[in-house]
Amino acid sequence: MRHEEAVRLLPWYASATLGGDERRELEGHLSGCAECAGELRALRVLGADVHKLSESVAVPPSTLAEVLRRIEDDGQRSPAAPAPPWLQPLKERALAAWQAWRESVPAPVRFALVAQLVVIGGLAALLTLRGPERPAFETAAGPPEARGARVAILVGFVDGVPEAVMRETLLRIRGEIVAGPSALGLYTVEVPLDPAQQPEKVLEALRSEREVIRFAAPKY
Amino acid sequence: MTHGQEMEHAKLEALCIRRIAGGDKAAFSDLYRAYQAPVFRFLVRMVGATGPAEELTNDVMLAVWRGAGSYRGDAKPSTWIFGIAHHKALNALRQRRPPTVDVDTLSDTAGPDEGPERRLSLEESRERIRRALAALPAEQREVVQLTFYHGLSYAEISSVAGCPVNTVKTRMFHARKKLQKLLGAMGLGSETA
Repeated sequence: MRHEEAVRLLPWYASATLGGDERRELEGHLSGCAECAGELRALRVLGADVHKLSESVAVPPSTLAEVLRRIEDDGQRSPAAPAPPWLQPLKERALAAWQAWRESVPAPVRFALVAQLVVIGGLAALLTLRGPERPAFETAAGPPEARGARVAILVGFVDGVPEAVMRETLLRIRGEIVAGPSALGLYTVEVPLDPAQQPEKVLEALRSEREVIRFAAPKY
Repeated sequence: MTHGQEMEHAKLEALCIRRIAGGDKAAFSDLYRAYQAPVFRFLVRMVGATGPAEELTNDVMLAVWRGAGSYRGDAKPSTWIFGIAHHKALNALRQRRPPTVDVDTLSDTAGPDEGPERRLSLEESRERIRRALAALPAEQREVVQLTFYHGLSYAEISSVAGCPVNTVKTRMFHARKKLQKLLGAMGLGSETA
């Protein structure tokens, strides 16, 4: 490999994304070129600096709800939300029936019916807002465990990992699967948040278990 | 992550995009959670401030929702998503003034056992790197960021930026020369230049 080409490829060798033949040719050149070896060392320092700088950027809280609201507002997947053709006559018939009802029923009767509907709606809301019923029985284990601060992370297991290994991994971090698997095969795992177990350390520990964990990231 | 794991992950994400194309909001939520942080950090580097980067991140994810049906699967999902972010960032840069220093962008990553002097030195060094990167033309900054933080190959960057691979290599070459000069002038030359 020519020196000029080697110099142009060194950044991707430093970032470990250079493939097959090019990597081997570059390694051949590197073994005999002190200038490129020095440049590689400098590129690795630069790469680490860029990485640290990016990691120092605090990610804002999730705005997923906002994006989903925009999707709803946009009427995405149902552009401009026109009624489908088969529904059009139905819509027109409903409007016509409403007009006919208004014209045929005297105003006092209409008001009485509306008042009845309001009372029924109020009662339904009261029933909904009463909150959860006290359970009819309690377990012998006593009252529900008091839960301290917990943090949610997303975890993906390597395909084919036995259930016992997954369980052992989760027990080690005192994690509990609270949701999943998602469409990407990821589980939401809650872990206790305490001084002995910071989320970064948990993620670091999980990511180091490459045989078991294929993905571990904070759930924002 | 090994190459095999990366490929498996890319396959899962491609499946996710196909589901999004079918209107699956749960799949979209998964993809959002996986990409919010990397896309945001890419955009912060590109536009230089957190506020606009946050808005643009939402725009990118909304474009993913709208454009999922057009994803053909011939590029990795990450390449496709960064391609969208690339266009959003360049459009934003065309429409506004040069970025100003945004101190809120930086959070402290010095360890708790590192003394104040070491902490100051880390912050100074980080700030100098940030300023040097900000001084590069957007196209060169993008190549540096995608290579060293997001781990993209030059072929993937070529796909993200929509330019030939030789242009990517040339942009990196010039970025490297400028960074050597800038960091050298800032006193960081001995390690990185």
